[in-house]
Amino acid sequence: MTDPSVPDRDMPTFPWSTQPQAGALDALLSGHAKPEETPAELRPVAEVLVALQAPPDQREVAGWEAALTVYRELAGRPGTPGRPRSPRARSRRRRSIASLLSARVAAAAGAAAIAVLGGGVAAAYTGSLPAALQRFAHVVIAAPRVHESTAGPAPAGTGHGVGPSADGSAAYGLCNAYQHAEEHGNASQRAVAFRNLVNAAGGAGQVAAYCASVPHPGPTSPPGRRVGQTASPADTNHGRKPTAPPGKPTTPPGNGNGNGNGNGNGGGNGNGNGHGKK
Amino acid sequence: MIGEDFAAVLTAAQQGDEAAFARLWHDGQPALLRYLHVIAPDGAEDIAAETWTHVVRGLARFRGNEQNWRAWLFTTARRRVIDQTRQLMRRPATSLEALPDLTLADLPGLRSPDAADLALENLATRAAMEVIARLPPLQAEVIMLRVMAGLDTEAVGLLLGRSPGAIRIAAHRGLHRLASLLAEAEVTR
Repeated sequence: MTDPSVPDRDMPTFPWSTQPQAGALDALLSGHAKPEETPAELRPVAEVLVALQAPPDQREVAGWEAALTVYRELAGRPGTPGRPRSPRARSRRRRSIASLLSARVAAAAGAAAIAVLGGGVAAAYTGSLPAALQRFAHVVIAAPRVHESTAGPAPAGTGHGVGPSADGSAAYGLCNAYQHAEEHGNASQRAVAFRNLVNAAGGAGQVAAYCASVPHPGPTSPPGRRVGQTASPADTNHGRKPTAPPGKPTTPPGNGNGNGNGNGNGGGNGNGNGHGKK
Repeated sequence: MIGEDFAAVLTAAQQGDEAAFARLWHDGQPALLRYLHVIAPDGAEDIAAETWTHVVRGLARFRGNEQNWRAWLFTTARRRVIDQTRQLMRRPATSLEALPDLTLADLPGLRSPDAADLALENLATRAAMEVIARLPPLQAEVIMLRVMAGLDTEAVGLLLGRSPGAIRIAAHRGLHRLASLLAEAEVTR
């Protein structure tokens, strides 16, 4: 069966049918891949897939107000789901559809906001591209060039430093991200969050002590703020000018107070769960 | 993903509970938008909004688990993309861009979002979507449906009208292509 006169290199190689990798690819696709079990050549791919599933930012949920309006109009009517009962209701429905058309306006407004849902998790990713992805970003979307000096003192053996340097608010973000990923993330998110944290803490055994020693960033956050719900400006403004006054909850325009109050628990839950799959 | 609460959340949302609908929406919308930005970069926000309108209309009649729900959400979105494409082909004058851009002009200083301006806070996510969008369309879509929608191979096959085997091959080819693209970026930096 293994006749040495038939050199391996004559065999056709179809990368997608290479059996040893097929399992790893399936694991990546279903979110069950463990980074340490991912072949080295697939790690940049794994990083892309993790980045793809990063928590939503404010802009991505800017259409909520319009969606809620439609929901109020159309849903939850016993007997006649989705059918307005009166001409008045019909005209209200037209208005709400018009408001949906302006979802892009709301999206633009959201872009002006700085708050990032899933705060700490997002902070752990923001501004910290995996190396391969950063090079790609540099080529295609003119992102800042990767600087070796800012790539971070990744411990020998890990190969790729992910995550911001872990002091100050970034440290809080890393701890927060890890906690959040533990509770809600999929395997790869947990792994990335943990790797970042281990790098920052200086070893897996140091993590608990490290996070215990990290102060909450800034006295400006409202008391009783829930982990992973809203980011304080310090969490998300890596080197950017804060656009929200400190101490004020950063609710974006177009996603106003009614929304924030009306679905406090729902939105919170949604944010927490919308980051990836189990 | 909502997980074990899903059945209760769905039932509540079907009965008009706004907090429950908020949970469904916030769980689905980011994944939906990212999917749409890859397969239909022009008007992803609009298509997502239309998708939710359709979903809300049919919500009371929906029966199924979370996988079924996700499959329905993304199938609905995909239909909207196909409808939009057909409309644009039939009547090029009525593209989405030609619709009155309602109040955009009234909001000074805000730029119109478009495909190139996917100004997510998260640069890594943005770059990831850019690189996925460079794959052949089927491969890109399959990867987005597997990873973002969280659908399994069978569900994606049903959604795209292809066999599970074809879906798996497309996904694997896509990931290999992705590896090549990233390696090229490495070389050309």
